[in-house]
Amino acid sequence: MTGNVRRFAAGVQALAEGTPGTRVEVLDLRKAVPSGNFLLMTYTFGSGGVPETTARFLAEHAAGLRGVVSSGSFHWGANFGRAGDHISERYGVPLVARINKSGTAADRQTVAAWLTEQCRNTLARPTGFEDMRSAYGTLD
Amino acid sequence: MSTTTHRTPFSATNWSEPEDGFSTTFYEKYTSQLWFPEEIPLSNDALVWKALGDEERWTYMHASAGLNALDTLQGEVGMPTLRHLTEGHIRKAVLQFQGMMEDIHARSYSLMNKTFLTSNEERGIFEWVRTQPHLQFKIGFVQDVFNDPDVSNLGLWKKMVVSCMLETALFYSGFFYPLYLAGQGRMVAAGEIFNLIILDEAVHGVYVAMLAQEKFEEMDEAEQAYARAWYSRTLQTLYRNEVAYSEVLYAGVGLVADVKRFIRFNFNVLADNLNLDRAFDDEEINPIVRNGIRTNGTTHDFFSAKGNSYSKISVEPLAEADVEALWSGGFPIMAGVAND
Repeated sequence: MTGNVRRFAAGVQALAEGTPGTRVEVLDLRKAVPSGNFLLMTYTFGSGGVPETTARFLAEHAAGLRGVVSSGSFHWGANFGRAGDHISERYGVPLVARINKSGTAADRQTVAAWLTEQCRNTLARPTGFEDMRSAYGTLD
Repeated sequence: MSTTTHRTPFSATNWSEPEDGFSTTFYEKYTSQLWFPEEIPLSNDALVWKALGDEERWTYMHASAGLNALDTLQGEVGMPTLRHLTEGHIRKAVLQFQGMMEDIHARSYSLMNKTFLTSNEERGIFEWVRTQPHLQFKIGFVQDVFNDPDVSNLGLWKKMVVSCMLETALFYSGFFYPLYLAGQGRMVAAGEIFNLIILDEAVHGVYVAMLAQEKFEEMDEAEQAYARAWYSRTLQTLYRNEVAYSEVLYAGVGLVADVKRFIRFNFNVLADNLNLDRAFDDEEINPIVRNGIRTNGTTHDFFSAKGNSYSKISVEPLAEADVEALWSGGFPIMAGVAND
């Protein structure tokens, strides 16, 4: 909502593309739909609920979902970034990171490293690494 | 009669045609998390309070008295000012609701004083608020921005920014201690009130920041550059003041360094909300404080269903079947509580 996810995604992209052979594309899910595998980055609102726009997106496009990052606010304690847990459980994908607002340098490292690893795994397969995408959902 | 012809017709609030994509969500969030301090049994903490050391009690009460003043400022000056200067019936309704919440927070702190202090101690603390220089500097600084006659985009943005600064950063010198104690299982009922207040303020800080981001977008480049510089200057001034205030509040309990770190952490949250650059490096907050935030509700009162681990109780309409069950010979009172 306040642009935290967008900023985090841009930071991760810059970091991941510093590794040779890694290409990351950031998509705004309100405007575009990823065609291959992707990492979903979403915000959390309220008591850790999955935002409606994110839920609607996943209902249709969960096939390529490979992981999730949730951004939230540390004030919520046990419910902090809970949307990520819900999505992780429901779709059987790892919660790659739970970040406070737009995250820290360590968070960007974690997610960039995960993306790089995914790209390597995908390279071994004939589908090609350009299918690996990073995407995020925001409240519209 | 002729004087009325040029008046703009006054419109009603149309919730079916929202003014933006987020205000209604915030309004609904507030109505669902509305709470009152009377619902949390503060007297549960009375014995713990007596067992605290003098320094601990001093820090606790002065921290919360300072917060009372800041919430009073927000409820009385901040939110009404923003509401007056913001367009849109729904937005005004959201801001007014926020103002009412600030008044509830102020009342919560006052009820804590009443529960734990003698009348003499209470009077002493209110007098301390009126004379504490760092607290008064902070209030005066923020008040001047709210009262500044400049209502251009830049002027409005500044008012929204100082409101967010209070909600997201400047309250945290006060929040630290109750969270620190709650994280150790001490003063947990009062700790729950603090947690509820923190959740309210966290959402207020996001809402006003979204309005501020809109104003920022409407500024031209030169204004934006000026705004960024003003923000940095203001932040540094108020951060230095917070450090000095924390040294007064926390020297007796030996936590000054941790409080400063907590304040910097929250100033970074503020920057994220406002979409501005963070002023400080990444730091971890004290794990005991984190634990104080994680504390799950202590109020296990089924009927009021409030507290930071509860959502408001849900209600289901009476159906034919309920009435039939009631008249079929069962005890009517059972039918009333069977829906759990």
